[in-house]
Amino acid sequence: MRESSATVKNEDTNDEEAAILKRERAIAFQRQHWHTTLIPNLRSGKPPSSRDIQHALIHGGVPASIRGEVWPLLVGNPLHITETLFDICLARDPDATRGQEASRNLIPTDVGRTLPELAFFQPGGTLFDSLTDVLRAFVRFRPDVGYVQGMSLIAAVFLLYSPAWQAFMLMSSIMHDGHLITFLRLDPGFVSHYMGFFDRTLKIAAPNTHSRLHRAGVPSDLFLTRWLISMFVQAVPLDTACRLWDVMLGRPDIMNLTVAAIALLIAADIPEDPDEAMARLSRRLDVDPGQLVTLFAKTVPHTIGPGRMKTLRGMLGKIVEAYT
Amino acid sequence: MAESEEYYDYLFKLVLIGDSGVGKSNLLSRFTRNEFLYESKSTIGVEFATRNLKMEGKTVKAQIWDTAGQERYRAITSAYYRGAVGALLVFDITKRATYDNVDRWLKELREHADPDIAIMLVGNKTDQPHLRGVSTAEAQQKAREAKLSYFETSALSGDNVEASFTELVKEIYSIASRAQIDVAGSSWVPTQFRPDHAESVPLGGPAKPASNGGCC
Repeated sequence: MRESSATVKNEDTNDEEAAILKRERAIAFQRQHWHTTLIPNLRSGKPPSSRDIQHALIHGGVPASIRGEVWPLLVGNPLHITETLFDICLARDPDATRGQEASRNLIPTDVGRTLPELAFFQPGGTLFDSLTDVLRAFVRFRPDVGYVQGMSLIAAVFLLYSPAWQAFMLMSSIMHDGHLITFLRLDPGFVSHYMGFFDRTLKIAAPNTHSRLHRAGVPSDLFLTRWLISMFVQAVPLDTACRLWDVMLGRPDIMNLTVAAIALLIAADIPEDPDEAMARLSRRLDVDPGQLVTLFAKTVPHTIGPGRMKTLRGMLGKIVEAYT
Repeated sequence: MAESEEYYDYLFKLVLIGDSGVGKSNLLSRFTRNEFLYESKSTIGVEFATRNLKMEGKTVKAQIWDTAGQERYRAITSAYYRGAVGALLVFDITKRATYDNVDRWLKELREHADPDIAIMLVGNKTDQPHLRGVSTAEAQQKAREAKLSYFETSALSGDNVEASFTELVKEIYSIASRAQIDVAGSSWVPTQFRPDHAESVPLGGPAKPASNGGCC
């Protein structure tokens, strides 16, 4: 409730400047902390789940200028992908008859309209060729999965911080490690089982949000498919998505994506009116990044409780297994 | 929200289908918000918008579901065809392949949508006449054979967008209002056509896909 008198406005400006200054100092301090302590720790094999790293990831996240360095350390390289493998995948002739390789025909349609607000990926943009290369290489590396619309967003976000071969490595790693690939196959049986699982988990973690969604008659797959396949890049503004990735990349499995989706639903504060609810969930949600991260890393897991979390994780694992 | 703003006599669920990149999302934003997004993005899964129209003094609420064009998504998006009373099947007049796929989309509708769904064929991107790869006559011929109406639009300039959506809604409205006069109250009239039942139409979503056994 803002008064429109001149004095108040002036104070606001001063407050704003002070806030910016404070934020800049905090970022400089964080960067320092990452360089002197956390990055060396991760390099020497300390897991991303360790306390000091989690603390830094939740409070403030990874400063954008060092994401290129930190993200690969959080993800690791479980498939031991090398730059040579990337080059081989790029050089290999595509075979449209193999698995889902024909899906590569959609890559040119999508690259130019990936994160259009940044213009990097449009034809002639600095990252247009790199994004095309990463997606082509992925299709040849995983012909069983191929290209699925939405993947271009994940590759693009990695490309903002990493060179092409590393973006390819990161994308392949999170897909493999996170079972996200099972979702990307879009098997209707899996999707329907997963939606059922999501509904149960939401009811446990956020009963109010659950009943509001039901009252409004919003089908979960209306927003969940988009949220999960883009790893939230098409769910929230880019800065917020990156902030969420900071805390999620250490373990991007479907259970964590589920928790993130619940956190976002809570933060979104869904309107009672069915049409407004559906319209809001169709758009990017402008939520507070700090609140979203806290809900994801603390509130929602706490509400579910460690015991139930383990049970749910196990249930989800079985569903994934049945469709892998 | 005041009840009067929310009041409508009819609720029509429509779907937008067709290959990737033909301009489905931009047709929708042009029709519902009069916007063309130069920064358009690909649709992942399903998106949704509504607009109210006046027909003979009655308010018709068009609830439009925009779907991803990639074949892989059809398993998910086709669930949204159920309960739809109209479909806009869109192709790009500058890309022959998107027109060649129209038959596959029609087959898709026949398999998953209600048999009496009203279908309109839409050739989009008339703002690029120099790149045209499908002639108007040819598309009209196909539409006639399949008993569809045909419109050519430009989501970019706005040409014919309003007209095409309105025509489809009008077509459905005339069937609905006739059905009501002829056999008022009889059970075969689809619920979504009955004004007095407008509120009872399940909003949104596909009917639950049949359980594949096991789980949950």
